[in-house]
Amino acid sequence: MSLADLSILELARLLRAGSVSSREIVADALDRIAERDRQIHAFIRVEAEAALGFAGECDAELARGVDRGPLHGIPYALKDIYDVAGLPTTCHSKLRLDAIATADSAVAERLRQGGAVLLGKLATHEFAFGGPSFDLPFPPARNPLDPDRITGGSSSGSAAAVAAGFVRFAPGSCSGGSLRGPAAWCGVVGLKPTYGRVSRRGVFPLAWTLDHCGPIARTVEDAAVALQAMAGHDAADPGSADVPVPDFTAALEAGVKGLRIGVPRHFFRDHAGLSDEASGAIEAAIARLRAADATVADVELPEQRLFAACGRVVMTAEMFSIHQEHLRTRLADYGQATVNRFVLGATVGAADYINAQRLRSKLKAAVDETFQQYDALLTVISLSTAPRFDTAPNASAWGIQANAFNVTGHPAISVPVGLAADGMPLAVQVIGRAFDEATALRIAKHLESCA
Amino acid sequence: MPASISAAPGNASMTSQTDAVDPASELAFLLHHAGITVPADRWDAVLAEYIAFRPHLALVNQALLPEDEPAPVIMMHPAVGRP
Repeated sequence: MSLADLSILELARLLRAGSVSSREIVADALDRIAERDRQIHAFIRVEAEAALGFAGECDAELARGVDRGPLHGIPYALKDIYDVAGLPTTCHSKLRLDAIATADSAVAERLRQGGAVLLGKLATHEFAFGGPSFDLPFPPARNPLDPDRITGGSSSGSAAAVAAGFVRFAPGSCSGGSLRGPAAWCGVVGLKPTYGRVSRRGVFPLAWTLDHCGPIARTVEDAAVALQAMAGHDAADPGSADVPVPDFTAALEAGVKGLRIGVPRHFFRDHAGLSDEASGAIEAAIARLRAADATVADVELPEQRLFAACGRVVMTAEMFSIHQEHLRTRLADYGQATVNRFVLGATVGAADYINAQRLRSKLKAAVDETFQQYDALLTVISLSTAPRFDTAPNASAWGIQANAFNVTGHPAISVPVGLAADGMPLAVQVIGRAFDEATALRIAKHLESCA
Repeated sequence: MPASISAAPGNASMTSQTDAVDPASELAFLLHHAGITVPADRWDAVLAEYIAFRPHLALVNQALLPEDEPAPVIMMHPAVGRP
């Protein structure tokens, strides 16, 4: 068994037993990156020397009895929209190749305090939106399970780096499915926490009211451990929530007996793009939950297209407010896929935006009402498996059904549940009550263990 | 991008719900108004996205009645800290 096959907590135990050092873990990860990332392109930038140096410090601290927690000495990498002091935050864009960060993002700061070792910066779709594209300064990340296929996005490098075994976890961001989508297509776990759970300070925004930071990780347990270190109130992020952070790993093994789980079947049932295998995957997940004595029943939420429209209009308006000046003066420096949709912000009027936010209030209320009777929701995350680069449709037609819970802010996690006939992963998503990531993680853990 | 503009709508929220308005002309007007120049070789792709986007605009406006009460989710609500 290689070091890449060991979970964060297993590595943490070995580190404390003196069976392995952080430098050895980091060096092993760097070797794998050097060997395989020329094909995968998960990394935009590798900081080998700095990583080995910090790993050495971590080893010395552990030897002195200084223990920063379960991530102490564990390597990770960051989507390149997170600031790290002294490094450029390129957003995978020609517009920001020289944008050197002067301070760490809140997540980078927290992870460093927790002893996690940064290996480098990861590919993303341009500005966490436009891609995968070949007209950007860095190549798009490829799916480690089949490099001819896309990863999904926008946290493309994060999912690729985890699926390739370069790191056990990689923080990404999500404004409409950018954690759960690529995680599902790469066969790893993507966790979008509740809006406000993780600070976005120092993370380049896409759409402020939809943006969430969260981990992509190899397993549900790894995701829980990573979220534990990332979560917490930060007054410097006006969207950050001052709420207690529970122990996300405490109930992971509690099973699902007695839990009430609702399935908004109308989200996907009649969708023309739903593959038989994706349909089979969610039915199998439902059967597994029932077999473990959970109560699973269909629920009615508002139409999925209302969530989709609401999210699209809000995102289009907000991202335009960020980029409009550069769209006027430097449009040619954006990739085509980005331009195609960024400029549509010019077509959204003030009343459109306000009405979308009013509709959002109704949609959130409807979901909250459902949670009065149910502990969690279960639905599909992708209508099919990852497409090939040469046949992938426009991103808006990928069939990732994630943005509903960016609109409402509820926590949602995608978890692999099997493989399709083409060898690519199938996944489902579990949604929890606001600030109840723990229950969603517990259900995902059960589904993962059955896969 | 079309050289001339055949419609001069006052705002997108009205026109986006009006199928009678030519989307190419409408988009050209709105981009011009915003000071954005889309190169000719990108125009077709942008227009295709706009045509796909218009139903979303229409839907968020049609889904609410004028007398509906919900206040908008306020971005970064200062009292609650979340939507």
